[in-house]
Amino acid sequence: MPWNLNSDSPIFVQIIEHLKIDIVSGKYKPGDKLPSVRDLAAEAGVNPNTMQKALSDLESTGLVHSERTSGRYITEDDNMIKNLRKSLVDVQIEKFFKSMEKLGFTGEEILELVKQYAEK
Amino acid sequence: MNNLLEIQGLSKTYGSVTALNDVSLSIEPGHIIGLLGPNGSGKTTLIKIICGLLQANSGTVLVDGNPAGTADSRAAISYLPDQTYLDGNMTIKAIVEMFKYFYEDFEEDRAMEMISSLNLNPNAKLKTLSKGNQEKVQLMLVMSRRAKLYILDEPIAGVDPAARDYILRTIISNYEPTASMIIATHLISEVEPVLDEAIFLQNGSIKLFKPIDDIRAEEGMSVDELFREVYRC
Amino acid sequence: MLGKFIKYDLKKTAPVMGVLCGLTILLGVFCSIFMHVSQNPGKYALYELLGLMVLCVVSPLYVITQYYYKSLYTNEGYLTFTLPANNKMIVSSKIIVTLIWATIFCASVFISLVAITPESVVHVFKEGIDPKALLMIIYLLIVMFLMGLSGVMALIFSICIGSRWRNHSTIGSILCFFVLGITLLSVYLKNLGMSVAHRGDIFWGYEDLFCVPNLICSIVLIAVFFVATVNITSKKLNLD
Repeated sequence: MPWNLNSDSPIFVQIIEHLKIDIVSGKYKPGDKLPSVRDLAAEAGVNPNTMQKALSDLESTGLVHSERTSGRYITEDDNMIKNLRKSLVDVQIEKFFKSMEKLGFTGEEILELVKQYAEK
Repeated sequence: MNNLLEIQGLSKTYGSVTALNDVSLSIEPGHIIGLLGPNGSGKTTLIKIICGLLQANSGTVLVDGNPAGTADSRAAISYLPDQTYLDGNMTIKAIVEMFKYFYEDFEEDRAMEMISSLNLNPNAKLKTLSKGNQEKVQLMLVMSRRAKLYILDEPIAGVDPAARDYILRTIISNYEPTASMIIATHLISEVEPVLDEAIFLQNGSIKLFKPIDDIRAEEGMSVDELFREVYRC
Repeated sequence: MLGKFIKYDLKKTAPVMGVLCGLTILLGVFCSIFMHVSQNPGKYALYELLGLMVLCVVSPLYVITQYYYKSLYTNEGYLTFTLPANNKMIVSSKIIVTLIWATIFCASVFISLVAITPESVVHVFKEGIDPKALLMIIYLLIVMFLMGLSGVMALIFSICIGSRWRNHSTIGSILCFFVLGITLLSVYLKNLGMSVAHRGDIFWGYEDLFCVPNLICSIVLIAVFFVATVNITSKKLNLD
């Protein structure tokens, strides 16, 4: 099943997002070996060069590192994954708050609504 | 000669109708390129000239340094036409044997593996297969070669969505980084993620030739959406 | 590569063409058997001739030209003309295969005809034959064969010309073959007439039909049709 990609942003950016979520959600655990570029590209249903570009980008952030011959691995640095999770959380919360503010709620009201929702 | 495909000033007319008008382009190894354009924009004409099935009125086409239509240029190309081209009385096995006999770069193991993954009977005659399966057999033959330039003309037109997924997956997983591939299609959104570059053809001329992600970053829309905008009627 | 192409096409057409050649020979053998046990041998000689005409003119020519036409000028051309060879080599190989089958078939017809009267062969072996007469027979057979081949080449050339008309290729081919056939026939008959006149005779004989000018004409025609078909098909190749 190919990954769901939307139409407005570059494909490699969306691949990066997708892989980050896979790392945070634990699909790939710290120290895990990633599938080959070709296999990942086939799984995602994307161009192998685009997948390569996304992986190189992840490498430059340190989330993924490559061993010369054996392939690419997820970082074992727990702090880095924690930070990644936090940054993804921030993104989601920011999105949520923005759309709630559009509906005319203030910060306090939103917090109260979230609390009520969680208790339901 | 680094370019797999080098086209200079190519023109083709059918009587008074211009099919291609001064087309020049070059393609390096390692790309999957979408040849996009509405019906009648010259996609198939361009492809047939590259394969040596049509003669151009002017211009040159070099495939891996060899003029189109020569034995060496044909050996470098693995071509999937937009229609069935196999003798329906042949069995799958016989056609695999034929490809093995004529093409040095044909990998029989790869072909047999795909046949079994498709649950096709190697002894079945081609004319007994459904249209979708016939197209899959042709794609299987084309992708089982280790060619330098793959040219697929409408590989996913007329097959169901499951077969489309299979075909696109086959293309990705059999693709070699030293080769390049040209996919002509009008079903852009389905093929877009598989491409890394797009050529827009309009009335026989190249309108745009750019990396997919550059188009998305610059235009803020997918290639499919851009296509609809450019070719709006 | 040329050898590779010829080998492949011969192999592919061998089952059908082999059966037709085999039937031709068997026909001669059976007619011969019936003629030797029957009271009315003439009847079976007629059957042999009728059978040969059907087998000879219609079926093998149809089978092999159909194969030739389909693999070059229909959808299958997309496969044929993307095989790793240039157009000239591909077209030449197809023509050569057709001519090889024509030769094999002519040989089967000859065997079939000889089979009707095995006594004559036995006679020749027992009594010996005048070497001059033997040479004459061989010469006549060769000229007859070449004239036949020129007809086959005219057909191949007609298919090539016919396919230039996109939607009327069959009619075009038939028309072209009709015109070429009449031309060929008139050339051969003119040579025959000149040969008869040269001898100062009023009746024609086999030596007039298979005279040297006809030998030369048939060879020239075969060569011209061959070169023209190869060049037109490869230079004007336009598959739609």
